[in-house]
Amino acid sequence: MSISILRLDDRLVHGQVVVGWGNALGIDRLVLIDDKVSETEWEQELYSMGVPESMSVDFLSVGDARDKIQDWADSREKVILVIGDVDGLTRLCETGARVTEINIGGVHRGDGRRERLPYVFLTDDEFATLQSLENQSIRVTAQDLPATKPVPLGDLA
Amino acid sequence: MNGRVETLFRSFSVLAAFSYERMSGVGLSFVMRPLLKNLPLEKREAARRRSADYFNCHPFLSGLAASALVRAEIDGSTPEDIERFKKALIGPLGLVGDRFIWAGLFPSFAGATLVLTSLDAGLLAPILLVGAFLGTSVLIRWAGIRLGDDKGLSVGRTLGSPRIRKALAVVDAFAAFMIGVAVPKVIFWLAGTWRLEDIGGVLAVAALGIVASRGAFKRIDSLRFGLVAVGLTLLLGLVT
Repeated sequence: MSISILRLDDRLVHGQVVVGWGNALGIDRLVLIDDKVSETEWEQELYSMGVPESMSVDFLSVGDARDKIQDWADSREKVILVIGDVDGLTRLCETGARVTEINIGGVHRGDGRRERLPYVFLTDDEFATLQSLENQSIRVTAQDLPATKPVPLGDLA
Repeated sequence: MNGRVETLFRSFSVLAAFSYERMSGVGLSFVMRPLLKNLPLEKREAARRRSADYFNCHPFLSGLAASALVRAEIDGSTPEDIERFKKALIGPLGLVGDRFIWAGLFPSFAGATLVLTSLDAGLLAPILLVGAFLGTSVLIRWAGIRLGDDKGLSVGRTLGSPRIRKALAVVDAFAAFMIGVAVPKVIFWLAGTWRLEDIGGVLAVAALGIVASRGAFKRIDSLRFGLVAVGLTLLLGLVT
């Protein structure tokens, strides 16, 4: 198993992901999963900038990523998957994709969202969706950086 | 684009309204305000409302973000694209700012200040170098505002260009060099007047610090250790 972490973070690529988790876990490949970014050149240029040269980066749509999850799980590379929204996350975890753990790294203020932690704001629907993922025996915790304590999804209610 | 100079001045206060909820989003809205006057009246209000949402970047580069966003508005990007652009700017502008400024320029200037101080420049050293740092900050802010105005949505191509990557590597190396020069220079300068027991004391504290930082006492990180060491030294100085 070498998907080191599947992270839900609406900022996608930034210091916490690349430096915080990337260095701590010795990540070889970062996969940014977002339908729109996978089609837009200027967005890819911006996000690529945040990735150090020692790390490969892929931009994939949710559908393409779902097809490749098994490959990453079996590969020797250490891979970090980053996705920005709960809806995409649900689609990624559908139909037998091998996901065992989800890290909520940051979801920020937005319409109808309520503060659960200083870095996690969720609508009640988003929270319920995450709960249903947890019911499929996926471990869901919130943790912004490797050095902080993971907070179980139940504590975010 | 009109309003660039006012945006430059406003960029110094971008962190004044910092919050966990929107980070420097409200600050960015304030920085961006003079540039929004370049938009036709009917688009201005919507752009202004959008501008205060969640955002964060290095404060020196907030002007770049402001001008690139307004340029994208002028070029007719959809509200959805503006939102995505703003989100995509957070990571790279934070990262470039951290590497170039906090890990590059800042230690370089700090190292130069220490070297000048050790050459007995007195108060002139901090005055000169704080001035130089501020001057550099103005130049970076101004270059950023011009770059964002010029490039709009495609600003990522310039920021990620080999030239900028090389500049980052050079500044990194220069900062390491300056600190490498400054530390022994300052130690010898300070130690010039030291008695043997002073040197013994410094070595003992350094040895304790090394043991603590190697995890002998896990809850004592370098900051806590440093603060305790400074506190004890002051206390001892007052007592003796």
